[in-house]
Amino acid sequence: MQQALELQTITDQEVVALAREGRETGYRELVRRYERPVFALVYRMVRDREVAEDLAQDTFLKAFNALDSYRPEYKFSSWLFKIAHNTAIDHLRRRTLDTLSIEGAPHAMTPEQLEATALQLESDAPSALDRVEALELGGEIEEAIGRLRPEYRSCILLRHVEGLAYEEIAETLDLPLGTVKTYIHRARHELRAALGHLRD
Amino acid sequence: MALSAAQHLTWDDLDGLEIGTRSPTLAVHLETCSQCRRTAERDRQVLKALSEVAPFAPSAGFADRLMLRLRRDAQWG
Repeated sequence: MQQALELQTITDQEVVALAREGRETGYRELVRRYERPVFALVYRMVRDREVAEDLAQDTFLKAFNALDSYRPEYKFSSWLFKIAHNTAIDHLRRRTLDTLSIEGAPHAMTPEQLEATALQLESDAPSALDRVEALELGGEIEEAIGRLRPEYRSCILLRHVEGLAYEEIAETLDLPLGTVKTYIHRARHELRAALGHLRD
Repeated sequence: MALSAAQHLTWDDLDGLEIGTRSPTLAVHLETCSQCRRTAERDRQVLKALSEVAPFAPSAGFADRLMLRLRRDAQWG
């Protein structure tokens, strides 16, 4: 109990040092501090709870396996968000590449190949998880965030949900400061248009 | 000096409004330009909506599952 309280009062860099020594308490404390923001960022990027949990786990595993390359002069949260963002973007790119026509791949030469490559449609009935996602992501602001381009989405989430400064976002996403500002401003412009009918 | 009709709100102005900074010039412009007032008000609503989004959390046992994977990875190198 006493140890848990002490862990909560030390800096991220000190917790990272514990983890680098192989202490499980260090790893657990980093997960306790960042599982929510990492999951929330990835979930809003991929908009699928189950996939987001897997990608959030991958994020922490990548970070823990690369702790030796983390430089303590930088914020641990920025470094972790960079890994989470890259993991989510890689997934979105793979998903785009994997998309098949429901009629089958265009290069199919025979009816058998066409059938074999056709997308198998699942039942239309929503699962319990689908219903949770619909509730969580179905609000107007969440829908509007979901319609933003992924690069705008990550910038606006890091700025206005996670509270990072423009400079931290530029460092996190490896983007020029001007590009970060442009993305955030364009995202706000699109959100204003999407929510333009709202009144207090 | 007031902004002319052609000098509507810039992004720097909106960023300033976000942190409560409003120059006298901007204040005068906002009093006289309904288009910029509407833009500023909509931007305020967007920022308010963003500040109120749900704090999503992973399912229970996330940390335990992660530690299990970490131990397994370490074991198998």
